[in-house]
Amino acid sequence: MRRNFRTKFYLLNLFLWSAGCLSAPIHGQDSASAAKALPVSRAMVKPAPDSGASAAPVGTFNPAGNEIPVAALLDTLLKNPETRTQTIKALIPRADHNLQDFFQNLFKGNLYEYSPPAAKANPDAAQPKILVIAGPETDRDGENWVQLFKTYPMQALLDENGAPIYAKTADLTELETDREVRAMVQPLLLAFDLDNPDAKKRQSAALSLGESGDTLQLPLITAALEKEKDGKCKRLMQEASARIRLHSALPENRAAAAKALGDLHSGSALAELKILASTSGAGMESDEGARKEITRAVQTIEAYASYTSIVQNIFTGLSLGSILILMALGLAIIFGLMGVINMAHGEFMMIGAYATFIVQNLFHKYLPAPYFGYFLAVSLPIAFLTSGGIGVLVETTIIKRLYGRPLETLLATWGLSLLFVQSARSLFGDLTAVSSPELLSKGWEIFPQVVLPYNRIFIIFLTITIVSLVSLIFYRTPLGTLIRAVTQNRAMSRCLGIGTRKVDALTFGLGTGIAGIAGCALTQVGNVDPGMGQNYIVDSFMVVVTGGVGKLAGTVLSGIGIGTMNKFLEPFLQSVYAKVVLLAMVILFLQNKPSGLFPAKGRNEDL
Amino acid sequence: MMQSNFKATRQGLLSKMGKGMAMMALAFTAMSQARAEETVKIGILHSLSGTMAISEVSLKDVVMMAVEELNAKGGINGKKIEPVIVDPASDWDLFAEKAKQLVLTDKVAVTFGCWTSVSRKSVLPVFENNNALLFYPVQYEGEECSNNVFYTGATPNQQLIPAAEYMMSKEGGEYKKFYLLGTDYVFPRTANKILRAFLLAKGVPAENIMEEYTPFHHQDYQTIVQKIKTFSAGGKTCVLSTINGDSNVPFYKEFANQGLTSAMCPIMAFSVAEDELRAMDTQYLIGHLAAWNYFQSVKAPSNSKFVKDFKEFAKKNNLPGGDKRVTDDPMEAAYISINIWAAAAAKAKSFEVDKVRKAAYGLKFQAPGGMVMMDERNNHLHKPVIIGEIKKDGQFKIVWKSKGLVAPEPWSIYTSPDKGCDHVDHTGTYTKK
Repeated sequence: MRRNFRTKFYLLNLFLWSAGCLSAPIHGQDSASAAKALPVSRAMVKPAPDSGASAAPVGTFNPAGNEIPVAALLDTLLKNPETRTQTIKALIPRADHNLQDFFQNLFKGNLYEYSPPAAKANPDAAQPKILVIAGPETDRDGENWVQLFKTYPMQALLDENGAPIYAKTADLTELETDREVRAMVQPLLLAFDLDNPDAKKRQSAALSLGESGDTLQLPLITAALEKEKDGKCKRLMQEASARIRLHSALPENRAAAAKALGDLHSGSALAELKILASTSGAGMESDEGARKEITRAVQTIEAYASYTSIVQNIFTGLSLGSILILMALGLAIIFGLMGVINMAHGEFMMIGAYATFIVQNLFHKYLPAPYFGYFLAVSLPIAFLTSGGIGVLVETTIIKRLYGRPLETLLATWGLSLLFVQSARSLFGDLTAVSSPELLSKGWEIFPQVVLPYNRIFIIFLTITIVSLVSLIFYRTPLGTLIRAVTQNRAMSRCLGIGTRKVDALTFGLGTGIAGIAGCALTQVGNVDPGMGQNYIVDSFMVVVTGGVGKLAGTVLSGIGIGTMNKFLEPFLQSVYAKVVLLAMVILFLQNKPSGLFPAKGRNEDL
Repeated sequence: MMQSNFKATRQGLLSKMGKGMAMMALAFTAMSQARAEETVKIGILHSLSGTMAISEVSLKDVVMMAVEELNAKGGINGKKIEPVIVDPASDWDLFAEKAKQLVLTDKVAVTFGCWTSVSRKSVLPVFENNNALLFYPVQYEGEECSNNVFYTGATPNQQLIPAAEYMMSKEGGEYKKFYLLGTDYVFPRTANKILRAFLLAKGVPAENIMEEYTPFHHQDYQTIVQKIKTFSAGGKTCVLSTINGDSNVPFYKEFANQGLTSAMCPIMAFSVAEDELRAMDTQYLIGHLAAWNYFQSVKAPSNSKFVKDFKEFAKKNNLPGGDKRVTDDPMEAAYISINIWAAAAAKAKSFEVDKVRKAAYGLKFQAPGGMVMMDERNNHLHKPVIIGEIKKDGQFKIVWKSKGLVAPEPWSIYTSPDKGCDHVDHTGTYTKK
């Protein structure tokens, strides 16, 4: 009932507005008269391509926009669909902030032709069509309604009573634009962003403008550069400006631009510079002096790039290594210390990942949005407890009957892993998404173009923390002493009154709990799906065996070693072959050192 | 959720759809002998468990919906359709075994099934040796022209080539450099072979094309994203991705986290559809592209009905996801498959394979995404090509659509210009003179 009433109210509004329309001409008529006064061609003034660093008057922000026949152009846009693309082009050099909303809505496809209903007083006189911006859609009685706005400047379209006008989407005709127009408008939207208070927006604006190589935008960048305080933005704007100046008609300008790019170590300009530096081909630099400068710039940039790529490879290696360590650590405890070949290790990771998924969903369900980001911190211990708890349960029901029979544990845990996978599939379906907290999205840009993603930095620190905690437990707590005693000599420990059963269960729980934490961390880089454990189990065993069974230090070292090696191989070989070569290397290594990096010493070798 | 409950049954039966648990019960129910004469059996050969279940279960669902629709209209040639559902469990050998069972034991008139190319290749001899019929509903690499398979998914020229052309066009962004990235198996390898030949033919220099593969389930995309970053630093670069399944999430995540965006370097994907997006965190994918022959967002009355019907069907039968389920390209193709078969059988007034096949040639069908047509001379479908941009809600904003239908080319003119596929004047693959 209430919605019905509302609809009637809006209809009434529309009616009232249309009644008063004749006496109060609005935007549409305004612009029509302006169109007569000012021919379109006058708007096509272009700034000189070589205006260089001295800012030309054209193209600086012109908030008043009085002299620009924007309204006329907007009207042409509506009336002449054939010249639409040119008209938009003509509007583009006008970086008029009043036009920002117009372009943004053009880009999003929110521009519509709107025919106001005929006035009641004079029903035969058709109202001229006007161009409007549509606000967000609202659903009323199954029909979509939108609020209408004037295009220039964007203001709510009001009826004579000052009430906003709404229209049915069905009654509006979309101003059709293609991707080409949108591609044309995009750099302009970015140019508007050059003085956005948000530094991030300014940066991406500068980056894309540099890429566009559009000399029209140079004055805008120069003007923005003068005001810019933020170091990174400044750097990107300089780079953009230099990249644009590479297209300058004057060779000395081009040489100066190349030098500037070389000094900036601009990786983004490298491909362009290389073409210019070539001694043949269509894109080569014709001026000798400028080419020399360009060649020097290419050398500087390449030397810098090889240096940063080493840093990057070390980081990616560490990142992969830390993931490997996190995965293998639990296995090292279970396999290394207890001698149980746990084929379900990957599935304990999967359980940890699903625990994270559940915690995330609970956060989204019961907590207000600002707290969403904390779900990861909460899910870490929960993942540990869930996986660890299920681990203890598995140990007390299955594993404890199988100590000293590695083949049987292998079969039993393999069966268990199948059971877990299919249960997860039945409970949760297949793929499931865990989002990253805001804090862990994006990355830290240590050098220009070299970004270290925060999620990976987080995993590296998590691994360091977990490894430290585990060694603390093992070497500084009574529990650790007990675990080591039992693993060294079970019979003797029992004689000395140690409850070996309890210690076994706790050790297994610790190992599977760490697997749970690994699963939780992995949600930040990959999928959560029932089969995820199987993607990691081979790598985990490889790390443990290479490191030497029973030694935590070995696991850590082989994890980092295998990770870094993989990442240094991958750029040269493809990832498929990198893996092949790596496995071959591991096999060769084990041929020579069958017990791994840190062979177990003493009497526990019979485990 | 339910897929695990389906057991491979010798004789599944679905003659009347009940509510709720009916779907589950059906698979276990023995065939009712009394009704045997009034029904025609069809086989459904999709993985309901294992790694492919995520994609294939939806195809089984949509075929079941079509069966229900056809039976409500009185069946075909006076007979009700009786589906026999088997579960090959994502195991290629099991596909052949189950196909044999459907063809020889259950004697089905037609089979709808398979997703991966390897599963299709594994069942191919079964259908060819027994002159049985398979409808295959997924986009594939081409280079195949069997008389016993109707291919209702796209051939390379109905998906890959238009997408690459679009990226090179002015409205697509005039991209000059192409990074071909795929999972290491037959579809991406063949797809990239064709794409490379096409790009070279269009004058893209070889140094502007990069090609790279990752193993199945690859999770660590750090190095590859860096390579893309270096490769794309000069601008005007796009990625053409045939990455499959669970590798997509880590790839798109890493891509976004290293600061690349769809504005700088868009990813055009050939294996990401609505059904996969359902379970992904889409914030990393917004603005990237995909090319298919159908999107759920296609605006057409036939499509609104299809989407609505499927959601209702899912809800009514308590399928996991209920009315939140989406439709996508392979599902539309599966829906087309059974309807084309039904129309052909009605036209032939018979269920005999040879007669149905002959009747199917040139047959038109008003599919959810628009009119489609079976080729006059081979078993491939004429379809429209559509390119869409991924939105936050996991749906696609359509940015380009082919003018009219695109004729299928089972043998790409870029890699096998001398080969054709014709079952009327030739026996399948022939050499052009």
